[in-house]
Order: sequence, then structure tokens, then C-alpha cells
Amino acid sequence: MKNKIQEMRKARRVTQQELADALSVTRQTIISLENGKYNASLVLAHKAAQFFFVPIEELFIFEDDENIDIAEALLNSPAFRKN
Amino acid sequence: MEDFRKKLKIRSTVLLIICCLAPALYIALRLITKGASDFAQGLSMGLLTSIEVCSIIGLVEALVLLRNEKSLKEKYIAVTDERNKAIEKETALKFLPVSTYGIGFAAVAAGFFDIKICITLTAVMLFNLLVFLALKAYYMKKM
Repeated sequence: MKNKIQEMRKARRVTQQELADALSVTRQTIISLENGKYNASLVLAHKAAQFFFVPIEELFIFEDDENIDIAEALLNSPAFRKN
Repeated sequence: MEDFRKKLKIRSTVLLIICCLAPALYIALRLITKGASDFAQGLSMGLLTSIEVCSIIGLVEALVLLRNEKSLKEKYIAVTDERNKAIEKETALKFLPVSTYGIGFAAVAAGFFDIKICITLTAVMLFNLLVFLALKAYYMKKM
């Protein structure tokens, strides 16, 4: 999962430490998130989205294959077939 | 963070009790292990000493954190940081197969030299697996 944390952080002139303090995580976590080495939990993603005043889906972007999996699951679900 | 502060206070009290009980524990252990071999006595005394040293270090750390708000916040963030927790989980997850295979191979190798060591290592391996299965069963019910 990609994210725009670095982009948004730089646009708002916020340092990694300031963001880390605001989200109650270590600076290393912010670095890992920005480098795409670590995927944020739902809680952290929500906090980050609130910090930047944007919806979660704007800050975190699903990769193409992740979207396809979800689309396939939806198409194959009984609820979807009924409708 | 208040919960963390409360936990630290409880921890410091427990550690203080352990530190205060040290002389009594030493005397009790000396009486219990009376007549045992020097090795067994030394081992139990060493274990107790290491527990006491760790307790003192933990107590000092807890007291310092409780008196310094900035350090307390830094420690709280380090402890509750989700990446750190994920690293710990991943490490624990990888530890079991590595240690089980390692001990298993060591048990096989020891079988060529000393049957006692072989049986001990096999027992350790089985104990590890039993603990793993017990914890897995516990968390499967809990989650």
C-alpha cells in the first residue's frame, strides 16, 4: 500500500518528529511509513488522515492488485449476485 | 498515558518489595539449598542475584520516568508504538521455528555423544512446542 505522507508532510512544512509526536509514534515509524516499509494500522491511518484533514483513501493508496482482489471478492459475493 | 503511569507506579511498588525482600530471600534460599551441591547452590544464588539486579535497575528506571514528564512521554511512545509492537510480534513468530529446528538438530547431534544432553534438548524442544500450542489455543479463544 502506497501513501502520500511524505508529500503531505512536506507540503505542510511539518517535520517527521512533529508528525510522530502528533500521532504518538516514534520518528522511525514515520520514516518506515514514508519509505513504504511499513503499513499503518487502521487506527494510525485514521489519525494520520485526521492530522492532514484528508480522507484516508486520499492519504493511503491501494496498489492495483489489491483493488482487483477486492473487486473480485465483491463480484463473487452472494450479496452482490442477488442485486 | 495515565494508564501507563499507573502501571509504572504498580511496577515500581512490586520491584521495591522484591528489593526489600532480598536479604530474607537470600537467607531462605541458603536454608532451602543447604546440603545441595556447590553448583546447585551457586546457580540458585546467581539466579536470585540476577533477579535482584534487574529489579534494582527496573526500579531506578521507573522512578526516573515517574519524575520526568518528558522521559515518561518518550518511553510511553516507544512502548506503545505500533511498529515496535509489530517488530516484536514478527520476531516472536520467527523465533519458534528457528529455535525448534535449532534445538532439534542440536539434539540429534548430541545423540552421538551424550544421551542425557540429547534427551534434555528434546525435552526443551517439546516444552517449547507445548507452550506455543497452549498460547495459540489461548489466543484463539481470546480473539
